[in-house]
Amino acid sequence: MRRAAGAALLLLLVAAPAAAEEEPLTLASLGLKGQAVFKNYTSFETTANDRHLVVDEGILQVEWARRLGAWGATKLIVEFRDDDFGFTRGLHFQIPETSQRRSYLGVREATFSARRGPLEVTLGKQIYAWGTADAFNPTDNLNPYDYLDVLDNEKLGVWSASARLSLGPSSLVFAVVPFFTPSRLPLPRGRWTPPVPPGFVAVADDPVRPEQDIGATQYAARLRTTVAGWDFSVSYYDGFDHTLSFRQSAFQVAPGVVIPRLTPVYSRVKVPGLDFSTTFGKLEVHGEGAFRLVESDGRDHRFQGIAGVNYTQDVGLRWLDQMIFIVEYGRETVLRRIRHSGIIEKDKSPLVGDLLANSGFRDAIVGRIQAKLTEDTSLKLSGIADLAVTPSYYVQFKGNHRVTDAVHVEAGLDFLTGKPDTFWGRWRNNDRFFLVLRYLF
Amino acid sequence: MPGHRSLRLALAVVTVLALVGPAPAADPSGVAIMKKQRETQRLKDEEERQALKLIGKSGATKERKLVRYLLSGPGDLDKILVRFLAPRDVENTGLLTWEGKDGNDDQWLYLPTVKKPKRIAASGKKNRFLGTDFSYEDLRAENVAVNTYALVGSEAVDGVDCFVIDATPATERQASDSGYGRRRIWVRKDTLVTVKREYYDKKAKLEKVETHRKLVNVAGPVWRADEVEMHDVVNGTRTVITVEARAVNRGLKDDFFTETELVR
Repeated sequence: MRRAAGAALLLLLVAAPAAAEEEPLTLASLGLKGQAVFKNYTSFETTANDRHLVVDEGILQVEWARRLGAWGATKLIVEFRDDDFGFTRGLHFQIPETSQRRSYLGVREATFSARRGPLEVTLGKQIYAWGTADAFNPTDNLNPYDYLDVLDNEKLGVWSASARLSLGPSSLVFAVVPFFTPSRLPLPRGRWTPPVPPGFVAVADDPVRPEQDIGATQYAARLRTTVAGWDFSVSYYDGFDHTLSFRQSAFQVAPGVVIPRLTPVYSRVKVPGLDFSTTFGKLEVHGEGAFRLVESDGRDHRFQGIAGVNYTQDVGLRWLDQMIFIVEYGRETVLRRIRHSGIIEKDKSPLVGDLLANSGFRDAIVGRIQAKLTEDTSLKLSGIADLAVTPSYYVQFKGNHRVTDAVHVEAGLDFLTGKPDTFWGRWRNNDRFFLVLRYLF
Repeated sequence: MPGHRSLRLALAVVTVLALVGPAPAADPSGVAIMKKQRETQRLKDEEERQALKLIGKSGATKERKLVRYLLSGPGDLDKILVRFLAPRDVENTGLLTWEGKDGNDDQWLYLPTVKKPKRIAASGKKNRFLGTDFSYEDLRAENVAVNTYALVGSEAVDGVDCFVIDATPATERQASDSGYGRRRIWVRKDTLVTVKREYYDKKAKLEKVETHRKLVNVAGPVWRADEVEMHDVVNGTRTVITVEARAVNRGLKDDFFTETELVR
């Protein structure tokens, strides 16, 4: 695989535009661009699982993109990354990506698109983004996430084929993902894996992933249109949850002594959804909802919805250009329980509480206030209050400054509060300072 | 150049006659001039590659590049797609606008990092466009339906006779949306092209001066400026837009001004 990556890089260089012969040799003349990112996270406390307070990470992302006349385009984004905690280890290229840790060298996106008339077909490792909400998108199900750092999570590309048919203001997208890629979960010996509650004893199996055969193929479609100032879309996803559910069974440790056995599985779901957005004067209004209907390895049919408004106030002062306010409310409703599924009810398990929950939007209010001081500097205060079961909160204060067009700096504080068995409270010892330096080339 | 002078004079006379119709002598009204300008200076579609130079008070400069596509639609309403080409941090950011009646535009912003277009409320018309001295409303074509235009006289700009017209918001909505109390517009009498604008705030204080230079005849009676400078007289900053390449009436279709093209 390493050899293949080397060959691909060589091909990129060979395929550089002919104009490069006349211009001085620069990355841009080779069609290359990218960014170098340094991240620092300084936590204020150690946790039972993790004695590190400081984590530094470096990422070098290189992108090569080329239009192939009017009929097509190709793009490749590769990433070199390392950190001093161990999120990254080894050099591996997998289809699908199932490694617990990141690779030093990885392909973030690799696409080839061909267009004829209103139809465009794209093949390769793709990142999809569906839905209109800001905090959470119930209709956006094709990509797994990298949750090694839960707050600084990243969407992972999936090897897939997609077709887009565009007719005026309407478009229909159909995507097929032949392989299942799970989300990358926090490392067991890291601060984002909460400690097992005292008194809780169980046998934990390795996750059971779907077989990589035709049955694991995932499909999705989205029809979107604009009518009289409203954007509407309906979507459908037939595939897997990328995060785990837990099947409970009994494990006999000795004659007459039985303890719970937990087998992590991935639910197969069908998710019809819809979203909309429109504006009323200075107010942008959006909403998104999806029915999460379990086909196998799941416990509940659910409806997930989120709606909100976005208001922008132009201030026009020399030190304050604009204020942006966003408020959203997210709600999850259990439509029907499948009683004999053997899957644990995530948020109500004895002793465990919300520790197995994978959504913080079951009954949540999201708010964001952004002060754009100048074109180059902004301050942002965001918060999520999860009111399901027992309230817990996540608050972030962040400042962004563009030092030059190429150098950006971002710094801030994350605060998490709540009881230890609540959604955000399970990470209550993870309050931290963060700094991100970005150089774009 | 007496020949040129008489040609210009003849053009001016013809233009004025065309504006006022068969009734002679009276000056055309401000609104008639602006309507005629909108009518004669409109193209089916346009594509411009622009370089923007932002000059700070101290003389420090920043550069931006973008491509702007425009499609003239029915009812004097345009569709506009702007895509930023440089610098790197805004590259491929796109803004799609469908002009609506009474300023009720549909607007979508595409940020490559978010990977999806987002409908935005078109509230930021007063706001500076990408850190330049132009606000969003400065870059829009004149909307004659929401402004009143008063012809206040004639004046030469660079030796060419111009109508001088004062534009003020005609509707409450426009008065609230616009950052200006009044704009003074200089329109050449021979070609009906705007060559200068002064922008006054709501307290009647001069805020900005916009100058159009390097006029080129792009098609039939249609002229465009290859260089436009906006001088913020309050902050002492300037922005110069230079058109590096232009194509007009090349048959851009409605389908081009959609979400599909915005995210491409």
